[in-house]
Amino acid sequence: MRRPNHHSDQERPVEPNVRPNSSQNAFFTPQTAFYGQPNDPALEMERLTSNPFLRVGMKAVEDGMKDITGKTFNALPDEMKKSVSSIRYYFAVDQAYVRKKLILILFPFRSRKWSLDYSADEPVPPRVDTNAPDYYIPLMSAMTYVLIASIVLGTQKRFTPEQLGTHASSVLIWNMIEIGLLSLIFYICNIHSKLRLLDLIAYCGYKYVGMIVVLSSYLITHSLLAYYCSLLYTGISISFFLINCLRLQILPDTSGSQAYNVNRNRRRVYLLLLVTFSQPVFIWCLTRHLIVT
Amino acid sequence: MSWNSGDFYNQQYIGLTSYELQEQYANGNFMPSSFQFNSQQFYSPNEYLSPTVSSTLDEIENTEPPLLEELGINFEHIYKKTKSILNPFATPDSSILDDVDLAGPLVFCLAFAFSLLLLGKIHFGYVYGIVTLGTVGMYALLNLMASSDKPCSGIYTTSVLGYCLLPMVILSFASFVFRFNGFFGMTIAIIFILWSSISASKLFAASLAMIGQQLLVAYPCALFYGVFALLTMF
Repeated sequence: MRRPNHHSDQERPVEPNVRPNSSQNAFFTPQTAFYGQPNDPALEMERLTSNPFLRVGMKAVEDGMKDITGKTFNALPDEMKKSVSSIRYYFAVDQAYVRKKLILILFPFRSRKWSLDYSADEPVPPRVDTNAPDYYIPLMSAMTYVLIASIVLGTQKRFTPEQLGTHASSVLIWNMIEIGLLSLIFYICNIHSKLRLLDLIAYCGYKYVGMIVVLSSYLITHSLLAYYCSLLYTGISISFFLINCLRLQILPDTSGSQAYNVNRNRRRVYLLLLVTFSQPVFIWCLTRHLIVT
Repeated sequence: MSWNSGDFYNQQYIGLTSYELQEQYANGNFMPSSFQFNSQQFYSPNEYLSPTVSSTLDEIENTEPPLLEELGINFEHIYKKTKSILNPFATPDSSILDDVDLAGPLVFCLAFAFSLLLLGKIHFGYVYGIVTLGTVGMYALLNLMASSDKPCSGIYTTSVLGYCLLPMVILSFASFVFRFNGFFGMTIAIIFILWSSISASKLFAASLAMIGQQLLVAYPCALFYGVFALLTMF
């Protein structure tokens, strides 16, 4: 069995990845344009399962299934390989991008350009385009929120190590509820937009940056006034940021026939407002139990 | 590496074929030619310590590796790694970058948990849980952020993160002696956290060739060590 050797770039042909029809299932669209290398999803899974015993075992399972059922199937489905490589797109960040994005989240009022750059019909990775969504900032800010919440509890002498687990699981569950509800609403209202599920997860994760700002201002000053002022400012800036980012994704292009779709257009606007204004509410909900009057 | 996919399936058999093996026994020999003794050599007592016999004994002794090398404990590497952690601003020695060693991290984690015992907190389970979750998370993050041709194994991340726990062990032993309260305590803790995370990210960035991402790797390490500081302080 011959497998491509991933150390010799010149042997491997540059092949474009086959992209499924975007209306069917936008979840597993592979990204090809980062690091300038062909992004072979088979390589990702091969690296993860480079243990030869695992491969022998998988092959035995596949052969066994073929004997029993008479049908061939692949024990490592292609979609798993594609989803790993599509998640890698969101982690292709560097320090300059993170700095610019954090400034953009906390002070979005000066920026003029909000549209994403595309190259060959695929969005460009976050290293190159500041407006592209990523997973590094939401993930790190969610974990920082857990840490800072524990520090706040510690200064109030209410800290036990179980609080770490409690806060981490509340972050996870609230995220899942929010994303689930939003996807359900998208599905029920029958709105097809350019916004993919993975992008939505990223955009809903940017509120943790606001949460960290709110909590650190309370931690440093210990005053309720500082807490509410920072809550107000953070709410405004996150809403502004998200409205501008999502406006181009959810609302339809102005070049279409608008009079025909007036109802659907209104639904999109309501959905956009729901997404953006639910973020400050979440920030308030997840921080108020830490504040002691 | 013998686990390269090409080598594993393309190995060739190197040695005698069965025909050649049979040939050795063809002329009435009951042992293969390499083990043939001249019968005079075999029986005469003054050739019991003959050079041919003793040279084969020497060969057997020389082909066995020394005990420490067989166990995988390399004191030179351990010393170099500890030195590179104690000085976070020096560039790491390239020989230690690929060495995976779990003995050091184990010792440091146990030392940290024991120092918490001195403070009156029995948090062995929490230390173990945080180390496990942190290592798995770091492994996932590094594999997603680094380029595809430089994967890192879970054991390597455990080794690096465990070695860089050394400053946190120093902090927790120090907090038994001094009392770190309030603003002063927070700044001391932050200094130690920065020390740990800079050395960890330096090792990661050097061995995984991550350009312009060292601070991005340092931040999750800082969060990881921050949890340990939290266990110490509160």
